[in-house]
Amino acid sequence: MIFPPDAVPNVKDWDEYILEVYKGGPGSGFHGHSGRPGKVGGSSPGKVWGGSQEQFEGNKLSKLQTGEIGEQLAAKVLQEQFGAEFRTVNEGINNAPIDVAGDHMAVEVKTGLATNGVTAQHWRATLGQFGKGEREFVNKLSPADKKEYLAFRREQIMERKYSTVAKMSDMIGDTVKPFTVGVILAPDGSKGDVFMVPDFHLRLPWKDYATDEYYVGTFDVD
Amino acid sequence: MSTELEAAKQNLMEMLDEADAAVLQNWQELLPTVEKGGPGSGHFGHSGRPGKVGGSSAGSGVVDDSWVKYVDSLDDLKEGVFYKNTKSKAYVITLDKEIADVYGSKFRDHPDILYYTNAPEKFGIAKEDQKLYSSAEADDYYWLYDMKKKSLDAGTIMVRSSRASVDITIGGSNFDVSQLRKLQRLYDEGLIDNSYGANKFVISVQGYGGIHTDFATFLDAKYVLDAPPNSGTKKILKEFEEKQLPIDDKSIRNLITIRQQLFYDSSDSLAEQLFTGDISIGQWEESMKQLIRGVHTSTAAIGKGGWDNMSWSDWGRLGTPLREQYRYLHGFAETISNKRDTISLQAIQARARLYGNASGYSATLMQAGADIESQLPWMPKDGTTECLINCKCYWLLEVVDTADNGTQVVQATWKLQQAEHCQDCIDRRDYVTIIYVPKGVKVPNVIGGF
Repeated sequence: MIFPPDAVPNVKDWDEYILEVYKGGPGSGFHGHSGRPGKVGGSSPGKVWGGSQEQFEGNKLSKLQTGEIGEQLAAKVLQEQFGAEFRTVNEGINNAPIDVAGDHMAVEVKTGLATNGVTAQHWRATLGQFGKGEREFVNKLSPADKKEYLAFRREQIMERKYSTVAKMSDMIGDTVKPFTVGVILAPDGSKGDVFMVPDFHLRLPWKDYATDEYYVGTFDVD
Repeated sequence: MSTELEAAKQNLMEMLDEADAAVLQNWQELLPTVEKGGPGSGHFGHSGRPGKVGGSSAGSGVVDDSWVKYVDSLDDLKEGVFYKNTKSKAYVITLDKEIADVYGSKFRDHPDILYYTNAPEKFGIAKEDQKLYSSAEADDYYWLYDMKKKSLDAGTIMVRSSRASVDITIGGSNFDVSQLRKLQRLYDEGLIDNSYGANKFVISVQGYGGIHTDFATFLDAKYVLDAPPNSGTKKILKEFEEKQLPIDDKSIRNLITIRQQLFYDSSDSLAEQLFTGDISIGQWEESMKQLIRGVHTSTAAIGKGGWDNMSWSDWGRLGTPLREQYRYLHGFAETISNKRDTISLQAIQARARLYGNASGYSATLMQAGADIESQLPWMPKDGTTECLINCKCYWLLEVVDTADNGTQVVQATWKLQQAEHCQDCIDRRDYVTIIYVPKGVKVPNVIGGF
């Protein structure tokens, strides 16, 4: 679905909580970013993303490196932001529905580089690679069935995320909230802008979401 | 649902269940810290990845191949193993033997990789899958150009390419026009380029000269390549020749119908992408504009009897209806945006198709030409009837006399074809008017009807 399902509960309330944290409420004492600590939308002179593709002559980070740095940066920032432990929960798991979790939050982490061209300036929930043996099944499909299968597969992306969040909630006996953390890394991977958007999304264009409204801060990568 | 599809879905669900369970297991381990809520516990619970930021665990002697799973775009493959072969215009991953031994089999399950060649045994890829693809598969959006590789290293994997430039060769007695719809999708996705210059792309129809016109008049092809059977690509290019392709009145209606069907396929697909969030509303609107421009120019050219019959003045006449369509489209985009929580995919697709329907009006304008159009009281699909762009009526024209100065006296009769008609069209049935067409101006037999 292009739009978040109605089933996602109380996202608005959660937004307010997050904003409280950003504004300097409990748990806001993060450090390490070069903007204005504790402020929402602080216009940092050291911000990575300037709104357009950055030119870079050096060695570009691979997708692998980009993803790893983004995930770990996100976990660190969340930990510092909310004063609770956040872990990657997708280690070694193909098609994991979420990437990072902690403190009543299930987080999808998406990372891009400031050198991304116009068509790649978004965070996107992508299809995972074919799992073991899946190709064998796919190869047997007719073109029409293959199309239907891929559509079905795509549907599962969001459905699985939400069903996992529901199970996480059951396990903790409290509501776990879905979030997407978007990271835009400097091309050398030295630092990254971190943005936090309530809910899961198939696609978040940077022009709409890498904005002050969702900006957490700019952080150095260890 | 076919048995194979059902099995594939079942397999997927089982795999995803497994992944979900693993994540929940990790969550279970995290629960104590969640309940404690202790800040700064500083343990991420994993051993890190050697050589990566944040990872520092000592090597255990097991090769870390987890990076393979992160490769979700061919451009993002590890440096040194991926390059674009400019000669073949396909994309090739070449793995050093050492890397191939370790990682090779991982690529087997990568969704971007469809074909392999010279894969080492340990890749576990069946011999029959290691084909050299000399022709495209119309059933697949992604084509492999004929690689004809003789010297690929062991460990070379051929991958499908969404950017490959391909020649299209269609031949044989089993030709089916539905193949052309697939070609249009390929074209819309940018898989077919115009590397040959003025024409959009080249279609070689081996031994089927009789359907050259069909090929050339839709899909925006301007030229048809008349190549002998079994020609190699170079030879085909050498023998490339331009052909004029007049279209008779009888063929126009069929060609426009087919061209509109191609538009429907594309607009349906775009709507689906919008609905599933693959593209934004802005991207959808821009893509729709391109589709609309494409279908209007194509149908106009068909209506005119061929691309080369289109004059600058004709192209100019298309400007107004196109701008009008863009304006409607923008309103539609706003509607979608406003109703995003409730609008259905079917509703988007149905309304998007109307823009393809409307292209028939462009064809009627070209069929008629400025001299005739200006004298007729109305035109099919011009919006003056209750059925609007769905109008299937047509003008039947007959030259009944010629004046001394050569002016043609033409009787134009409004005709209804078999279709559901609105009252306006019924009221106009068999309406006759006489118009005067200057000497030398071609008078079509019919105008509209599609």
